[in-house]
Amino acid sequence: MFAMASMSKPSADGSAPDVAMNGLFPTIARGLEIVAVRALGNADEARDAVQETLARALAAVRSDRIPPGVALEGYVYGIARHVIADVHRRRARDGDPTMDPGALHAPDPSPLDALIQHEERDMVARVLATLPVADRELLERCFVRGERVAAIAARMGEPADRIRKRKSRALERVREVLSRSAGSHETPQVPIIPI
Amino acid sequence: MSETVTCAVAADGERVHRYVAGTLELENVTQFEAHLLGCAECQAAVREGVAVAAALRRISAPAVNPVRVGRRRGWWAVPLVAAAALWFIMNREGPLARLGRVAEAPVFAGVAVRGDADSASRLADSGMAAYGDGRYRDATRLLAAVPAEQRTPGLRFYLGVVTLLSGSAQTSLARLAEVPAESPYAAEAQFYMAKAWLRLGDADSALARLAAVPPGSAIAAHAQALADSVRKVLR
Repeated sequence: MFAMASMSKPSADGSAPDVAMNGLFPTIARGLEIVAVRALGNADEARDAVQETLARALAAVRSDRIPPGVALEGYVYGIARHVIADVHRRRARDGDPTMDPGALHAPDPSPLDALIQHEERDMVARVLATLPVADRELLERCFVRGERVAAIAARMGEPADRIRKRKSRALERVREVLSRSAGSHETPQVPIIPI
Repeated sequence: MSETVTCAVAADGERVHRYVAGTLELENVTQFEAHLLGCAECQAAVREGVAVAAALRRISAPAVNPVRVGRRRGWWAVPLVAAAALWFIMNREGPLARLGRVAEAPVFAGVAVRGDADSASRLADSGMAAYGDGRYRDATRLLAAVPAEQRTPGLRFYLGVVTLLSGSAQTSLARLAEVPAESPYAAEAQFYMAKAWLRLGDADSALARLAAVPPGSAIAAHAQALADSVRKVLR
């Protein structure tokens, strides 16, 4: 299935928690932010959930409570699921009618938008506006409609490999412009204008 | 995202884009998220995908929310549905008019029309304050009250835009046409004239305005994208 990163559970010696904090935890924290924002749809609550998860995980590492053979990120993910479920239960108890207490994953992808700044989104919109219409449609089928590559290939009458390459090239173009703009720190001259 | 991708999941990309779009099956979401926590490459790919998805939604025409009708309707539903259908027929927008919508007003930086403290400047300031608050009809009234000979190019531009935002596409065309061709607002004025023509259902005139946007201007990419969308509707 998924290849786990080559990071094992820290040993129980005195330096292990520091190794975890300095090495793996920052990566896990960034991943947790994505998971929590997606599940909760609220940046503030997601931040609290990440902090709570990391605090519990760190306590587990320091007291050597992680079972042998369990990858640290998998263990932390288990904690995150409990923390997020607690938030959903609290919402349900407080009478938020939009929340399903049993749900861990929000069905609407828009909560993930809290991960990015408006400026970044607008900059990407500018780049996308310069792409050929066919490439924009391809990216929309992937990232907005969530279609499988095989289905897109069948619809467009192209081999799946070619679809993957086109998608990679389009994303590469976005990446190039973003990395250039990140280096220059230039403020856009005109506001993004919805089309 | 790093240039050399070593993670097979990130390299393939399908789970990433389906996760971002929310179409990945629940059991696969669980597996992917457990992997995501330890994989910086997939994290970067997700963030990139989120930015792309948000940008695509931003540059797309606003979607119309479908009206959901319950399984059981009472007798009262018949006239309601009929009235709704009549309202829809009378108020429906075609695809061109939807492209002509200005979903969000261009940002006003707050410096374009500040001048001497005479009455025209005060009107302009009040008008732009109303514009900033989203009170477009008030803004139109106040900005239109500034004597024509005292209107700066920026004020002419915002007056044209706010007139369009107030729903008067025909009048906005005349006002945007008053933006001097040599002013820094000229290219954007052409863009919003195209929007106004689309509101009026005249695609040819809209395309002509979009073609008049100078290729090197900051708004050129948006003009090109809008022209593409118009042609797509016409096909």
